[in-house]
Amino acid sequence: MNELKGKINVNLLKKGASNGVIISIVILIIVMSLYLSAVHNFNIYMLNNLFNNAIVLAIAATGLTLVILTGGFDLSIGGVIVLTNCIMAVYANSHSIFIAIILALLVGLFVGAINGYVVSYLGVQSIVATLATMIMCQGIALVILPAPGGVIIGSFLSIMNLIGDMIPTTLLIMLGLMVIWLWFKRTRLGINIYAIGADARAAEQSGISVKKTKFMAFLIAGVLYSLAGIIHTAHITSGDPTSGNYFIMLTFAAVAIGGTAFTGGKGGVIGSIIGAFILIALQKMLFAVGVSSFYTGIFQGAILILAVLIGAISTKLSEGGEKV
Amino acid sequence: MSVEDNTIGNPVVNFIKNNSVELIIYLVVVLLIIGSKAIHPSFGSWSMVKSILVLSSFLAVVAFGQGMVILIGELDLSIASSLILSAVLITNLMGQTNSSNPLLMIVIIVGVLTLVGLFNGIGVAYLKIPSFIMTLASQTIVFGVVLGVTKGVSLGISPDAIRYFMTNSFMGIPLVILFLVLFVVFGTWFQKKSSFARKVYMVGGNRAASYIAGLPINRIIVGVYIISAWAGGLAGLLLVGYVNGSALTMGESYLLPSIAAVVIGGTLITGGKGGYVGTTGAAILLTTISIIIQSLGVSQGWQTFIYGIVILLVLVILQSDFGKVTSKRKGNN
Repeated sequence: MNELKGKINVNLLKKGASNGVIISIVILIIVMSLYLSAVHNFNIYMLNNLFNNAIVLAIAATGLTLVILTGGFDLSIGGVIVLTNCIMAVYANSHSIFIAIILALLVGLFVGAINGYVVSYLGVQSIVATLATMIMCQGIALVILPAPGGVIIGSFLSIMNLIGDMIPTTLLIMLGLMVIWLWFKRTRLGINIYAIGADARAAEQSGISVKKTKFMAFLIAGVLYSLAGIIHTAHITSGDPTSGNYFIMLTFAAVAIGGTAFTGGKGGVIGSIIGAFILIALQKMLFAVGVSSFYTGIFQGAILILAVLIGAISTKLSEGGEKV
Repeated sequence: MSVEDNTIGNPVVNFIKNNSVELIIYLVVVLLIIGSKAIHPSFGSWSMVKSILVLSSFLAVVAFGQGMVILIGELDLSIASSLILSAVLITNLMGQTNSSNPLLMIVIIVGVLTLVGLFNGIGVAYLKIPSFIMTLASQTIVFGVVLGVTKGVSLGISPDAIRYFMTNSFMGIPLVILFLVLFVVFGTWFQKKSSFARKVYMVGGNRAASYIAGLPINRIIVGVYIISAWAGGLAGLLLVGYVNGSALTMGESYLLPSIAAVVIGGTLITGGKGGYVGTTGAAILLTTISIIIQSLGVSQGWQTFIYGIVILLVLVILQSDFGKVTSKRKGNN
């Protein structure tokens, strides 16, 4: 009975995920063509800039997608990105870039572990537990770097450059992320993450440890947020302890646009990465058209609603009106 | 469904059992205020209690709206934008020229807030957009409109009447504290007695059963979002009077704490269970904690860190075996 149900669920998953990806690709094409028609001299450097902006959001959204697939929430993104950004800005100068990166990754691992432990083993609601860890991270960030500042220099910044004046390095990172994801979702852990998000009780009965799977999702997510923070630092070349809320909003939007269901078990990282790219391309497009940056939020909100709405409608159509 | 089936027995024991989360929270607040004397000699006084209650009023009012939305099993991330929207409208429409027709302005402001609530409600109820996404979107849209219209700078001062209300006392008690007490009494009455709120509890507790019972679920959800937008707007009004002006950053700090206050106050985040007395207690608790932390003489960063860790500890304790014995929540993520 459960096996049968599981099989049906898997089929629905595949349909839903492909829908999300297809819809987000269509939106991306529309936004990009508007952008390209608005700028007259689009060149490889503008493309590089686009990828450099999008990569931070894409990595953070990858982490968040894992947590949301399990049916949880994670607000600590904002905190971890800001904290690792400040760690990089301070310790890369005072010690070395290598130590700063290791420290930043450890912080991400640690915060992810706290989130995972408190949510899955102590049973605290994920939205409030990660709210608390986000506040803690922002506090530590302010302790390390009380005001925006710090300058990063050196070879570390070359990840923002083009390789051989041709290929953006961050494009390769993004592609690498996608390849790792395609491998990961077929691993035991990847399958378990989908399973507990779709139906935690059924997963538990079929021998999957729900607690351990959830814990691992938060843990990996934490590391990915810190990676996003590290690359964010290479992009802005300084530290800013105050930009946390901006990242929370955009990352959740990227995941939603990418077609991942907030109820868990449905969606995937590819959609979220494209979602991140859409949001950044939209910003650039609006800027190129000459819309005041004050109004960017209106368009971001509208595209968020639109993407989710189209996703819901097409899911409904493809399933003959069946409720999922 | 209900655990409160111990109708036979000592009524006092039953009262304590059924309201244990609320009682614990208020007890902790009292102990914290008394204990804070050890940190600073001026603490633990009536004037400290007054300032805590005045500062709590903003969060408590926001949390009423958030609480109604959470009771039905949804979230409202746009409530901070409603707060800013209302504050900016009040200072720009009413504060700058006190000569303009105040009644008309109030109608306009309430109307605009109702539109925000309608927008959220229609998206969540009729278009079936998950509330987290819908209200995240409406938050950025509403804030974008406010940002665009004001060009990032909000002008104007508070209308005299609101300013007067927020700065004056009656028999030594600030008017806003009297207002808070009335608001809590009204909010609790509304949740316990009004037929609308009873339906909210039913839908939040079991949406499928409510549907079968023939409740107009969609209209109830829309109603809840309108209440939430109004609550955000009311908090904006209080803040305008308190700081004598409006700023585009004033709502941010109430959004996530409003969710924390509702959850710490004993409301189930999946809906159907909880009440405003607990929410208010949690709002006062969070405010008390942050005031005490501010007096510790440590930097802003450490204050923020301690605030976060205290919230986490409170959540863990409420969720622990101790919390499970005394409260009715379930470990449900």
